[in-house]
Amino acid sequence: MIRKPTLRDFRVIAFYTGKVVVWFGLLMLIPIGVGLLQREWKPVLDFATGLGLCLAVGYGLQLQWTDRSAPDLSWTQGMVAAALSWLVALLLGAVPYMLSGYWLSYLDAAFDVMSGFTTTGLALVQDLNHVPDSLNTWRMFISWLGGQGMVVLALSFFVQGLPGAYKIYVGEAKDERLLPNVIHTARAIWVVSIVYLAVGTALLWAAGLAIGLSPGRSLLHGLWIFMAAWSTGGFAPNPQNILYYHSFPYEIVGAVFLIIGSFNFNLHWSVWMGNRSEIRRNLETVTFAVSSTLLAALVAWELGRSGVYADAVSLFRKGYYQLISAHTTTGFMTIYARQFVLEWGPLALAAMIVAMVLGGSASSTAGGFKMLRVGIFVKALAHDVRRLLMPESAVSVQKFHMFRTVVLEDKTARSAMTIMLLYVATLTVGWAVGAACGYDLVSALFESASVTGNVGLSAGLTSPTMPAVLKVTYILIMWLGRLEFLSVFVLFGYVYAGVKGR
Amino acid sequence: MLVAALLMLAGAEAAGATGQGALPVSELIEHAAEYDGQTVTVEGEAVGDLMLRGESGWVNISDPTGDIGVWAPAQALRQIRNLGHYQTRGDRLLVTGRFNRADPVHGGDLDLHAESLLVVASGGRVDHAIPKGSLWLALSALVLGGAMTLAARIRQRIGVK
Repeated sequence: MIRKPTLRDFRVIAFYTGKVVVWFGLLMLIPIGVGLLQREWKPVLDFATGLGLCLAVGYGLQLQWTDRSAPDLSWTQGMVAAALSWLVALLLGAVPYMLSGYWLSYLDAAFDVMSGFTTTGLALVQDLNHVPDSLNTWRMFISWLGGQGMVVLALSFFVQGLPGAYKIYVGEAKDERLLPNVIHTARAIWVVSIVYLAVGTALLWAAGLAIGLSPGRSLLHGLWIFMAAWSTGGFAPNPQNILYYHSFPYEIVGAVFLIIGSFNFNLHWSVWMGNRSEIRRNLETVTFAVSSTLLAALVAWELGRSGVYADAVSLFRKGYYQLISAHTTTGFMTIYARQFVLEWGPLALAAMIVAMVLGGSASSTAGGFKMLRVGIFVKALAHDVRRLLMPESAVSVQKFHMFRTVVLEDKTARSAMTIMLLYVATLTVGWAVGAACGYDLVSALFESASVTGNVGLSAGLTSPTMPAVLKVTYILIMWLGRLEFLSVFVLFGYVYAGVKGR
Repeated sequence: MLVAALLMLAGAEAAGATGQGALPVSELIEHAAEYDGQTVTVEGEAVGDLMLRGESGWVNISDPTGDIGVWAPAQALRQIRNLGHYQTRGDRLLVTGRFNRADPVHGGDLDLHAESLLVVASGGRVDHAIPKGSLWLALSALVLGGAMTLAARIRQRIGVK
């Protein structure tokens, strides 16, 4: 029997959702600050409008809870609050975009906000060359924020001492526990990220100076590209994406951060705490090394055979770079979108699609199946084959190393495969809707894989002229993929229970 | 290299120069194999940054269909006075040069190696007026947000059931 949510349930969820929305709104002080510095007055007003609305809605939601002490959360309420926070922030975050005039519709604005939150990186923004610095800073920042997790931010610094904090944290598809206390874990994630932000921005700033950017522009570009790389978001401040810089060194520096951005936060913490051997023992890094090598070889073979790129440097800068961009689910591009379909052969495209679907590590900024699940699947399959070959009386135990040695249990394997199947089902739905809208099957599949894995590479399909039904489909898929389905399903289930439950 | 730069400078600020025969950037991308290695003409706005690297450098130009990178002698690039940003409209350039689908000199980039670069129209500052409507909307939203903040704070202190 489905229990009908009570008024108390809605008030609890509203309270926590309101907390996240308020602090999302306060983050708009960042683009306001940049706008004031750069004398971009209209964007300042647009973001001030967004800030005011976030405060109004956020505190309005919090007012639904009338006790002085904050309420405790059940698991269901936590998941619903996480999903609802994202949805409300999406709707409010689209307001400054819409007011700016750089998006053709509110739906396009919402698409780009969701693309940023989910670190996908597909964009419908118009006239990107003339977008104000404050707006570009916000675009990159929400991608960086989305990679960390909005709820993680709220828990880290603004939601102190709230009971049930862990439940809303898990609802955002975060299950790493660096430290015993979830608040401390959330803050540790931010410490790791901020240190990398400082180092990465400095390195990209230096690289920008070396390729001819002015000091001020190099600093801005360095900050933006770092945020997009680390969050594996893939946004760029210009339509040509990374191709704009025409620089191998700049690509390499960015690539370092997009690769390590796709690694598990626990791995970063382990290495920081001195456990460097974890890099070579960890199931996810091993799986990533194997899959990326095999897929890169396939791409290189196809592109080399067809003569798309005549020399090894070009093959590396275009072929390998795009493969790594896909596998880490970043979406940085050093070629034009149409070149995928026009020049890359079917095997290379297939390798790219597989890479996008496989994705990066769990508990990272990356999307896709996650290397942990892929590794578990391979281990489980190998174990099943081994068991069949052994005498019936023999007992076989499969283990894997993930910061410690773990026995692979059937329920773990089943859970991994369930999520992978959900990804495949979601990708198929996106593919079908794209095909139904009249796009060719290859482009529709490529784009759907990119959206489902929160990658952001494009075969040229994503544009403001896409049918609205496809834009809405992609928004939902990005949301589902980023929160890894369960929170969103629980939210929909909650709504259903509200209507049908007893 | 110097002779090439001088030839380009000699054609600078050609009054009334038009982009007749200029190809849209999207045409080059869609039919890159056909145009590969050929001399083509592109017209567009200089955007973003001038990236000078020794005796040559890059500028990216944008037309309504797309953007493309142009590799040209530094001397020629220095005639560009305005680059497109939020507060600036970039100079309009007419560039003729060798189109590369996968430039072996520049790591496989799809780009244009300029043989001539003309500034056909100067850009300049763009003034973004502050619409009164935006001002009132922002003030209204902030007042509403402030009121709800105050209400929530008061409610929290009182803890009314």
